Amino acid sequence: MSLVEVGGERLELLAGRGAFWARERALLVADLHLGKPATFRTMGIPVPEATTRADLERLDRMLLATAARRLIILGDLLHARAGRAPETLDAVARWRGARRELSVLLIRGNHDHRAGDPPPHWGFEIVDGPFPVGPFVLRHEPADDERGYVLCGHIHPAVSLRGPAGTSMRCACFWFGAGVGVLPSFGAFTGAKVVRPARGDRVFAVGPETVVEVPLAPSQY
Amino acid sequence: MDAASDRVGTWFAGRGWTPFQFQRDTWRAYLDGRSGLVHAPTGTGKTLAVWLGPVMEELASGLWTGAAHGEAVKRTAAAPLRVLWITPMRALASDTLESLTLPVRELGLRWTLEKRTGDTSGSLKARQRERLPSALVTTPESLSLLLSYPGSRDAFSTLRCVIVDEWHELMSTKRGTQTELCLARLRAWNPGVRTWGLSATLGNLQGALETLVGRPAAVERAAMVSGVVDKEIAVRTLLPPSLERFPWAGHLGLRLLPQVLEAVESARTSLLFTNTRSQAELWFRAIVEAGPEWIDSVAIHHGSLDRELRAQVEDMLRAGHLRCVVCTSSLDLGVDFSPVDQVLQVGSPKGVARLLQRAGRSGHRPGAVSEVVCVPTNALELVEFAAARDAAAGRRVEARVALRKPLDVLVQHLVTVALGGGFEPGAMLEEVRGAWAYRDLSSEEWEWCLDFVTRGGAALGAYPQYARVVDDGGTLRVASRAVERMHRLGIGTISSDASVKVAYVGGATLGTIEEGFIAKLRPGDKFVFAGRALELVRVREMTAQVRQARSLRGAVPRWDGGKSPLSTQLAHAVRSKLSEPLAECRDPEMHAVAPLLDIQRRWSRIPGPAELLIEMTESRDGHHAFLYPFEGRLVHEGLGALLGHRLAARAPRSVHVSANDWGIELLSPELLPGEEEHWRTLLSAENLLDDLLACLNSTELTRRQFRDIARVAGLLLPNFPGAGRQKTARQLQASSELFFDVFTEFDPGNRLLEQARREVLEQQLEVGRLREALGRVEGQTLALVRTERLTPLAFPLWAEQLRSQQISSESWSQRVQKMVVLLEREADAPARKASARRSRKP
Repeated sequence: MSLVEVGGERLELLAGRGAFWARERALLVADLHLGKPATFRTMGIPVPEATTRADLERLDRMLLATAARRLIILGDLLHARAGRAPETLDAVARWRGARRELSVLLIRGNHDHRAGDPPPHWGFEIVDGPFPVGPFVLRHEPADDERGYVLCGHIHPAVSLRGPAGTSMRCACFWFGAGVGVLPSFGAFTGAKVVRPARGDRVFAVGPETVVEVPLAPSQY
Repeated sequence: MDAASDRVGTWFAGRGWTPFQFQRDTWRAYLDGRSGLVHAPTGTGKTLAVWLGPVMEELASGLWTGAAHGEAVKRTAAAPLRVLWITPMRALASDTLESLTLPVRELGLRWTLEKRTGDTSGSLKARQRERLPSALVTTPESLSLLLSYPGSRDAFSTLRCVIVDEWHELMSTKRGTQTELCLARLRAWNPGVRTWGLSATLGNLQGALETLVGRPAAVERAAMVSGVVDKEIAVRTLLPPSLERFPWAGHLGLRLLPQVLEAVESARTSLLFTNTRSQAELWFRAIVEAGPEWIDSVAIHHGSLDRELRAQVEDMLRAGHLRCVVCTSSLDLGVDFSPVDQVLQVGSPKGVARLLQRAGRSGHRPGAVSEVVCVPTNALELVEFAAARDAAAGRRVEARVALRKPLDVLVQHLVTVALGGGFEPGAMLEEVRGAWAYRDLSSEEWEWCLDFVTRGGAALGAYPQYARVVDDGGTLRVASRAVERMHRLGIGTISSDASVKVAYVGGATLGTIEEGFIAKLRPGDKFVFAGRALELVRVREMTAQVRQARSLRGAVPRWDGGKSPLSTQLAHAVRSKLSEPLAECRDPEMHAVAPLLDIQRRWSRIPGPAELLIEMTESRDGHHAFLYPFEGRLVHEGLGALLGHRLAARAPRSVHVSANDWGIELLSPELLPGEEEHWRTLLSAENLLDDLLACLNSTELTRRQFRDIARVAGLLLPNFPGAGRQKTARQLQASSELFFDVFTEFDPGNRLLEQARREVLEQQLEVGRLREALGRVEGQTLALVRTERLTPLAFPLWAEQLRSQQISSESWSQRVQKMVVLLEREADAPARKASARRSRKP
C-alpha cells in the first residue's frame, strides 16, 4: 500500500486497483466494465466468464481489508448493452445481496450512457459527474475543476518502466497531477494505455500485491 | 491432343522460341492428369510451363476455341472456370494476368481472364459472383473469401487446375497453410483438380511438393520438374578505403555512398536492395541529396508504399526511365524488369536463397553471369559477404519448413466454411486431414477446434451466450449476420500486421506503416517515409496525418520491418570463413577486414572451428558474458533464454539476454560463472525441453507470439478503415496481451496458448536446431577469455541490444525496485543521456 495526499486528504492506494479514502471510509474504483466479456461472446469472441467473478472477489477483498462503508465507482460500471447478460447481472446481484449495508455511488461514464443504468434493485445511487464531495470533484473523464481536486478514471493509465539492457515492463498505475488524479482501470478484462505524466506529477505502479511509487525520468515527461 | 500441342508449338515458333525440355515435361505431366512442382529461377519460362497445359487441354477439347484475334470474349460466351492462379502478392496479379492473356488470345481460346484481389472493384466482384471467369488470378485471402460465399461449390465445379505461384514464399507461412486448406476443399469438391506449384530453388523441394498436393497418395503420383539450372553468380564487394573509420556495428551506415554512386553510374539500370524499409528510405534520400542529376532518375520501392506509387515506379523501371531503384524484398518477386543490368545489396543478404533470388533480377541474357555488388554497412558484414560467396557457389540453399497444424488458421477456416454453405463435422475432418499441415490432426485437437467455434472453449459453461457457429440440424453454420461481416473482414488479416495509413492532411495517401512505429511518435515528431521528410500532425481512425517537414532535425531514425535472421547455412559459412587462414584466403573482403580480426585476436581470440568462445567482462552495467556459437539469431535467442533461465533458477536474479546472428550476450548485476565446468552444465542438452517450457513462462516470447494467433483466430477485430467509427467495433476493442492474460488465468487449457508455446519452440527458438547446436557445443572445447573491454565481436551485441529480453526469478516488487533505482540514478544525472550507451562508434 502507498499513501498519497491530494486535496488535503489522504488516500491509500491498494494493489486491488482501488483507492481508499480513510476519513470517509470510502473505497474508490474506476472502469469496471462489467459485461465486457459477455459483449465479446455474443459476437463470437470467447472471453471466459470467470473474469466477472474474479473482479467481484477482488472488490470484496478490498472492502474487507479497509472496512469501507461506501463504494464510489468513477464511471464505466457496465461495458455495453450487449453485455447485460443474465450470468453477469445475476452474479453482481448476488454479490450486492450479500452486502446491502454498503452504500454505492456510481458516477456515470461514457460506457454507462450507452449500456444503461444498473437494475434498480441493486440499490446504487447514480449521478452524472462532475460531482463534488468534500474537497474532491468526482467524475469519469479527466478535466480540471476549480471546485476541488478531481478524481476520475476513463483513460486506464499505465506506466512503462525501463530496466537495464533495453528491457521494459508495463504496469497499470495511479496518476496524480496538480489538479486531477486518475485511477487505474479495475476490470480484469480491460486494457491500459501508457500515459505521459507532466513534471511534478506522481505515478504509482500497481503490482500483483503491492503499489510502488515510480520516480519519473526526464525522458518520460 | 497432338493437334493441340502442334498449335502451341507453332505459336512458340511464331515468336521465335523453342520450348525447353522442362516445359514439354510439364505439359506432358499435366495432360496425363498429374499434379506437380516446377522449380527454376525467375525469368526462365516457368509461367508458360504450367500455363500452357490447361490451354492445350482446352484446345484439344475444341469446345471453347476459334475466337478471332482481337475479338472481345464475353463472360457469358466464354468457358466456365478452368484455372485458378494463386499469387502471394496482389501487386503481382496485374502483370501475371497480362502474361497469361497473351497466349490465350493468340491461340484463339474463348476464355475470359480476370483477377480478384482486395483491390478488385465491387461491380466486378458482383459480376464474378454471377459467373467466374475462365481463369482467375487471386491471392490466398481472396480465394478464402470466395469460399465463404454459399454458392462457391457450384461456382468451382468446372475447375481443372490450380496453379500456385512463388510457392516457396508461401509454404512456410500461415498464408501457406490457409492455401493448403483451400486446396483441400477444392479437391474434396472435385477430385480431378490438378495442383501445380512454381518455386525458386529450395533446400527441400520434396517438402514443397508434399505441402502443395497434400495426401501421400497424391504425392506419389505428382511430378517434380526441374527447370533451367541456376545461372552462375558473382559476388563482388565494395570495400571501404580504410577500415579505421568504418563502424564495428550498426546497419544504417552510408559511408560507401560515393562508391555506390560510382557503381550506379557505370550501369544502365540498377536495383539497390536493402534489408529494411527504413534503410531503403535512408539510402534513397542520400542518393537524391547527392546531386540534382539524381532527383529524376532514382526512385524508391517498398512494401509499405501506396500501391499506385509502387506501380508508377515499376512502370518507369520497365520503360527504362530510371537509373536506380532503392528497394526491399518488395522487388524480390515477380515479373522481369528487363532493363535492370546491375544489382546491389546493402548489408548482409542473410540467406543464400535470397542472394540468388536478388542476383537473378539482373542480366537476363542467356548464359550471362549475374553479378551482385555487395555494400557493407559495418566491418563484420565483410565476413558475411565472403561467406555468402562460398555458400552460393556450393548452392547451399536454405529449406523452407511448412507449419504444423496451426489451430488458429484451422479455426478461421472452419468459420469460413460454415459461412460458405456450412459443413458436416465428420466429412470436414476428413477434408482437413487432406491438407498436409493437418494430416496428423488428432481427434482431441479437432474436437477442441469445433468447441472453440461453437461454444467458445472446451470448458462447458465457461463461455455463456457464445455465438459464432451454431449446429443447424447436423450442419454447422454461422450464427449471425454480425459474425458474418466481422469474419469476412478478418479473413485478410493473416498477412498484415496492424498497419496505419500515412496520408497528407486532407490529401494524398503515401502508404502504410506499422502501427507500433506510429504509436511511439508524438505530433510534431519527424520521420522519413516514401522518400519524403514528414512531420506527424495527428493520428485519426487508423490514419497518420502528416505534412512536409521543413528539416529533418530531430528526426526519428528508424522503424523496423523485414529484419531477417542469418540462415544456418550462412551462419556456418561465416564460422568456417573466420577460421580460414588468411594466407590461403582469396576473398578480398577477408583481407579488408583483417585489421579488425587482428584486434580481436589480440584482445581475445578468433574462435576456431571446434571451439566455443566465451568472453567475460565488466562494465558499469554489470557482468557480461559473450558467447559465439554462430548459429543465427533465432537459435541464439532460444539459447540465450535457456541460459538466462538456468542462471536465474539457481538464485533470485535477473539476466538480460541479447542475441544477434553471431552470438549471445548475457548481462547481470550479479557475478556470472567463471569456470568451464559451470558453463558446461549451463550448456547441457539435458532437460532441454523442460527447461525451455519453464522459461517460456518467464519471458515475453509466448506473449509476443500470441499476437498473431489472436488475430488469425478472430479474437481481435480487424483493423480496417472506419472500424473505429462503428459502435460495435468500439465495444470490441481488446489487445492480444489482454486475451493472453485472461486465458492464462481463467482458461489455462486453451489450445491457442499451447499453440503459441509450440510456435515459439518450433519456429522462434527452433528447438530442433537448438538441440543440434547444443550437440555441437558438446563436442567443442570451451575457450573462456576475460577481456578488459568489448572486443570487435562483442561490440555489435552490446551496441544493438535490439531484442533484449529479461529473464528473472525475482518478484514483481524486486524488479520494480531495481528499475526505480535506475530511474532515480537517471533523474539525478540528467546530463548523462541514456542514449549515450547506444552510440555506434567504439
